[in-house]
Amino acid sequence: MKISAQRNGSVMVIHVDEDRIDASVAIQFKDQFCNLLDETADPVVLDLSQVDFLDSSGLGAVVAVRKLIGRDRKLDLAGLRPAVSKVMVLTRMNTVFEIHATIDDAMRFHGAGHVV
Amino acid sequence: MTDHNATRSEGANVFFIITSGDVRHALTDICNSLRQLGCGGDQIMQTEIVLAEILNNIVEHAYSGTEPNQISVLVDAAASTLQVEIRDFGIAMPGGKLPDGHLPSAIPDDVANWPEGGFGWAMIRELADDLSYQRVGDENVVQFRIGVNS
Repeated sequence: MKISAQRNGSVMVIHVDEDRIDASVAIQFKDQFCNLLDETADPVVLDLSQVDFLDSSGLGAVVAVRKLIGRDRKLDLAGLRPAVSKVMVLTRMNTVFEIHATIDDAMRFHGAGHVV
Repeated sequence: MTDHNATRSEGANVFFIITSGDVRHALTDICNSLRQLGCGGDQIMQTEIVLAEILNNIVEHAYSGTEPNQISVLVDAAASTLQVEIRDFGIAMPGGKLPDGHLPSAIPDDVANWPEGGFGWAMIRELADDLSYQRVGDENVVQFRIGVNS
């Protein structure tokens, strides 16, 4: 699965370059996300703007990485497409994740510059 | 009207026989077919969410530990409400009924207490109307409806 990390000042951005995070890639997503994480306590923004569809396994993997990161480090979501947004609302996980409309909004929120 | 500008017509059905190893492509194909029949984007999205959960459940539980197996999906799109039937030959649902799948009414603030599962059936039950399950001979038969504004 295509997933990459980018530093933007004090924010770590993780881009998912896949159109689906589903049962067939959920474990890969979790493993690769953890490999990309650095040792800092800087906030992490997960860029989902390329992801059209997230199923319960994909959501479970996002929740799992959120738990692994721990309560002392932030993990925000950005760029949710309609079906991904729907899944977050249906499961009420939209009430506990900080969700930004775009990656630029997330950068502004964290006081970092634009992502190139 | 051009050929590819298909509209929904009386008796419009989408029928797919898929193998349990290829849920992802099957979902894409089913959604494309519904789009060609003129179904709305929101209705297709809701159908895809429910179908994805039910099909994955079949692969992970009904066909657990078996070779790739057949699942049939029939979507009756003749009326504005979609009527969906999914059949598989896997093991029966435990207790002969579908799981409840409830999430806590409020997700706790502390990430350590967040739910780790139960998302799938919770979404199915939120979106699918008239959800039913029957064991018919060797087959599991799940039926549900997705309205225009489910």
